[in-house]
Amino acid sequence: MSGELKLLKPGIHFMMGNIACAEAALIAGCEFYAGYPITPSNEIAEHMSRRMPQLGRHFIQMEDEIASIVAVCGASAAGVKAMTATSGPGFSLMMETIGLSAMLELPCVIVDVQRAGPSTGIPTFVGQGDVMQARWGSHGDYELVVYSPSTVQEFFDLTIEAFNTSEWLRIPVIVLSDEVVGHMYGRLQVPEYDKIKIINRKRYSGPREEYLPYSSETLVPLFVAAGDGFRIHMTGLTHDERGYPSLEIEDSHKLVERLVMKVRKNAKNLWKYETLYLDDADVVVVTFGITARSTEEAVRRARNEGLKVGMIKLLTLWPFPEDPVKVASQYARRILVAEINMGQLIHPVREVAECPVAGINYPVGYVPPPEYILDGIRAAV
Amino acid sequence: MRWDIRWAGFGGQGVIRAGEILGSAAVKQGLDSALRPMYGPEKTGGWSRADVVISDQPIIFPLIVRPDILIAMSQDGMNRDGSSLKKDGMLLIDGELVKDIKCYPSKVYSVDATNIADSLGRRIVANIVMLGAFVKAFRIVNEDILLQTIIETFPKAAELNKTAFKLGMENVKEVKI
Repeated sequence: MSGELKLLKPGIHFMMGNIACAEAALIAGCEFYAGYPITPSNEIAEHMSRRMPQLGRHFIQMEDEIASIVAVCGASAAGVKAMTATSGPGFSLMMETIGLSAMLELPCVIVDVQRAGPSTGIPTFVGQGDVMQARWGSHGDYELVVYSPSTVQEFFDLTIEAFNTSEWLRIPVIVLSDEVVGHMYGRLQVPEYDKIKIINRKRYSGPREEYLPYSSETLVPLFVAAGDGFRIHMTGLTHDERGYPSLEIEDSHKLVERLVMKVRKNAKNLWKYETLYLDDADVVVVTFGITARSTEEAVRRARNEGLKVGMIKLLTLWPFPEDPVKVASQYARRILVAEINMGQLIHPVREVAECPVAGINYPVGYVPPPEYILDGIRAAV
Repeated sequence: MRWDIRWAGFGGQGVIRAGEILGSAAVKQGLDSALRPMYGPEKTGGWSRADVVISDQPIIFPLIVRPDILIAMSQDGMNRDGSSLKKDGMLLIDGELVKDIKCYPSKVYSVDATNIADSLGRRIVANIVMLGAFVKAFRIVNEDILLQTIIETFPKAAELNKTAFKLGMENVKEVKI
């Protein structure tokens, strides 16, 4: 049997979100998984521990989340696609090395299946409290990409997208899922493999002596793997184009600007979102993840009541999809932001909106029922 | 048409597995389905619940607030989830394990699933007996596709599960409360 035949078969499946994520990673070409168990992300690691050896790939359970993400970076430096999955407490431990991954430009995928927090919170219950942490959790200036699925299908699709984006831009990419989307089973359509776009990082093939691992000629430098025979120095210290530590102003500016601009300049290509009933909407609800499922039901019911309501479901949270929210705010009287936290995504919405913005917040642990969102909508129109 | 089906029992009865099989059969049949498993921290012996939504339209909100059908495989499950049943909702119980009905369903169906499973020598197939009873009482999914899904799920125990499924279909009865 060829390796490809051992991947999840194209066609219709009924599958748990976490397992769809793991299978998507296999299809995307993930060769290395390192992780430490934590609810509600466990099914990803459990499934990978069985599946990776079947495919001749590597799975390792590390001693904690810090070691897991460091191992993932090491595998990426060796040239393979690598991932880990965790939840809030483990995600917090990974923050320093997510910054290192951005600095060393080592592509990797981190799945955070959000649970109720803060701290240990309620491990088996849902939350959406890691929106800001996913973007700003590591210190210093860097940019990364955060995707957020609301269905099993999106969890599958966005995991593949996460690998592609991380390889394309050489950045850490976070899939910010949640307990319900992770544990829920749903209909999954796996496309034929030749219809699935797979991106691999661009590699350097020129003369060895001319290679600059952090060349600023392009936004994304060409990659060589540890073990390819090149002399490479990698450091979290601010470095020059050769990778050696530097205190020079031009080196620092060049590097940090490039790390940030490779995402900012491509932001429009990274924005993924879906809209519903925006054409004549007086009130627009901006939302993501499992809350989007509740919101869509509420918005459809509100339309049945004759209320002019629309919604924007964000699949990309960061870089924040500014344009669709800005445009909607130019026509709407009010924007509402529905999320299972006390107000996080509302901040970037406020930054771009040209009309008043209010939150529909639901304390962590439970999914707001459609009726709750509908009450928020009724109060706003 | 959307059906909200809540399956309540305790960890080890295969409540969530039954929900997975039911949802899987529905999807094979061309319907949409969503399953939300929930359980307490104890796993075996603790509370367990599978919320299964089946719809001929794409499912927007995948969770259940008030189920149309409650399947209670334990008295604890009945006590916990009985009050959530929709007005005029329907009930299916394991008649041996659920004695005190704590809701006001329009119809009640009963099957002694655990006893039947015991008579087959494997209590573990009580959930499959229940699936047989479910399809006989409510239809919703195609009986043949459901049985096929069960067999595909447990290929090594195909005969046992087939028997359990048939006995569930044969022994379910409507009861008056």
